[in-house]
Amino acid sequence: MHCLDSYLFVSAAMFVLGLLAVVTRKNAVSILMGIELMLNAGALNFVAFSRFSTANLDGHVAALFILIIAAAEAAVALAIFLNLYRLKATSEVDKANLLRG
Amino acid sequence: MNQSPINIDLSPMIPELTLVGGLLLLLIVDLLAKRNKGIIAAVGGSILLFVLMIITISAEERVGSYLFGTVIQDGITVFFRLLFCLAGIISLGLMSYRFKDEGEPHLLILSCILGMFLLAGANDIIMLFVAIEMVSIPAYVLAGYGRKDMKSAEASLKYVLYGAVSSGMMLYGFSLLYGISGATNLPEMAAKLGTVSGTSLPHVMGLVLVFAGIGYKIAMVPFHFWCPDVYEGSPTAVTAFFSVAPKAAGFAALLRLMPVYVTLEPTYGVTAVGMITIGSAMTMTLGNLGAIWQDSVKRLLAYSSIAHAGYLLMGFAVLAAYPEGEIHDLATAAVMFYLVVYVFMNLGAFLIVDLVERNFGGEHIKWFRGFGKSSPIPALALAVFLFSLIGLPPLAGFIGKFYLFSALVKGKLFALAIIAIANTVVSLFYYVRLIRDMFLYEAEGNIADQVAAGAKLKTLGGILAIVTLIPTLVLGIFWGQLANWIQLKVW
Repeated sequence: MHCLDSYLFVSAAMFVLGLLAVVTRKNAVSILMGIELMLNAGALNFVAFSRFSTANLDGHVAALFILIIAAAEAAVALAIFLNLYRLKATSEVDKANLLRG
Repeated sequence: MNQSPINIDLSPMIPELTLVGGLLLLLIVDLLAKRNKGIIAAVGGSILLFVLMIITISAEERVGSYLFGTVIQDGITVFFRLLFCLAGIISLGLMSYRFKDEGEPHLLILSCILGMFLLAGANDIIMLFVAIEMVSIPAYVLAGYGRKDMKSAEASLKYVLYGAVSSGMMLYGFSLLYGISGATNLPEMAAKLGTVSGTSLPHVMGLVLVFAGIGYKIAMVPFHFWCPDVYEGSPTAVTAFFSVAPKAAGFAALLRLMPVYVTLEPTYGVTAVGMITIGSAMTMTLGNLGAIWQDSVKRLLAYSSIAHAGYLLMGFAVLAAYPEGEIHDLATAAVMFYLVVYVFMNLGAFLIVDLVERNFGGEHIKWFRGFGKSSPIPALALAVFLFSLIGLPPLAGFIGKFYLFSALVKGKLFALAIIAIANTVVSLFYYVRLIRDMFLYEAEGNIADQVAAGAKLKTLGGILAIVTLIPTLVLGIFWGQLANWIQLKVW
C-alpha cells in the first residue's frame, strides 16, 4: 500500500475525472469542482514524489502553495458565477452565449 | 535549504515590496476618498509604477539568484519589469476614462503587475506557478468589471473557467517534471532532466501539459478559443491591458522554461522545436484567418493578437533549435524587441477603438465608416498603428518582424519563415479593410449624423496617443539604440 505507484494512480485518476467533469458538465459549479480535482491531483503528486522519490521537502511546500491558490481561484470563480446568476438567473455555461463567431 | 532563515536577504525583493506597500496605501486612500476615486487610483498607480521603473533601473547591476534560488535577477528580468511598468502606466491612463469613480479596477491592474514582477524573476516551478496565478486571478475579475453588462459577465466566466483548467493542466505537468527530476529549481531541473538518457513518457507528458498551460495564457492555437470572447466582452480599456501585459508575461515564463524544453529527445516523436513550430504556424494562420470575418473591431484585434502570439512563437522555435550560442541570443533579443514594439502599437490601436466606443457607444466596424472624414487625427493614428501591426516599413512593426525573420533565417527554419510571410500577406487584407472603411466609406443610415460629429482626443487621450505613436514611428527609423540596449540585457 505504501508505495509511490498507488499514489500516482490515484492522482492520475483524479486528474482524468476532473478533466472529464470539465468537459461534460454544463453547470459552472460542477465545472469548478472538476477544476479543483485537477489542482488537487497535482498537489497529491507533489506530496507523493516528495515523500517517496526525492529527498527534499520542496513538494510539500508546493502543495501548501497550491492549496492557497486553489482557494483564491475558487473564491474568484464563485463571485463571477454569482455575478452571472444575478444578471441571467442561471449558472449553466451554455446559456452564456452572447459572444461567438 | 541550508541557509538559516535569519540570513534571508530581502533586498532583491525591493521592487515587489514597494509595489505591495504602494498597493495597500492606494487601497486605504481609495477607502477614504469621496469622489474621483478612479482618477486618484490611476494617478497614484502611475506614480507608483514610475517609481518602480526607477528602482528597477537603479538595481540593475544586482545580478544573481536570491531566496534559495527561487528568484533570479538578470538583464531579462530587468527588461520585462520595465516593459510591464510601461504597459501598466499606459493601461491605467486608458482605464481612468472608463472607471472614473471606481478605484478597484486600477488596483487590480497593479496587483496583476505584482504577479508579473514575480514572474519576470521566477526561477523555480513553485514561484512560476504562483506568479502566473497572481497574474491570472486579478485578470478574471477585471474581465467582469463591466458589472451590469451581460457580455462582460460572460467574458469573465469564460476566462475563469478556461484559465483555471489551464492552470490545473500546467500544475499536473509541473508535478510530473518534479517527480522525474526531483528539483523545483529550473536550471537544476533542466540539468537533471538532461542527464536522463532517452525521454520517458511522463517527461513528455509533463512538458506537453505545461506547454498547453502556457499556451492558454498566450492564446496559442489550439488553446485560443477563450481569447476573442474575453477580449470582446471585457471593457475596452481592460482588453487593451489583456492583449499586451499578461501575454508578455506568458512569453517571459516560456523564456525561463526553454532550458527545460530542450531536454526533450524525440523518443516519442515529440521535440521542443517541432512542438513550438507547429504551435506557431497554427497560431498565426488561424489567428489571421479568423480575423478576416470579424465585424467587431475588438474581436478583429483579438484575432490579430493571436496572430502576433504566433509571430512571437517563431522566435521560440529558434530558441528551441539552438539552446545556446549566438543565434540563441539573437532570437531572444528579437522576441524582446518585438514585445516592446507590440506593446506600443497594440495599446495605441486599442486607445483609438476605445475613443470610438466611448463617443459612439459601439466598436462595430459600422462606427468606423466615415470616421476618417469626421475626425482625421484619431483615424490617422489608428491607421499608423494598423500599418505597424501589418509590419510595413518605415514603422516599428516592420523592424520587429525583420529581427524575428532574420533570427529565423539564421536558424535555418525556412518553412516557418515562408508561412509567416504568407500570413503577413493575409493580415494585410483585414487591417487594410478597416483603414479603407475609415477613409473611403461614408457612414450608413441613421448613424451618419453621430459619426459626422466626430470624436476628439482630449488632453489625456492626446498624451497617450503621443506616447504610443512616437515609439511606433521612431522605432521604425532609429531602432539601433533600443536593439543595442536589449542585446546588452541578453548577453
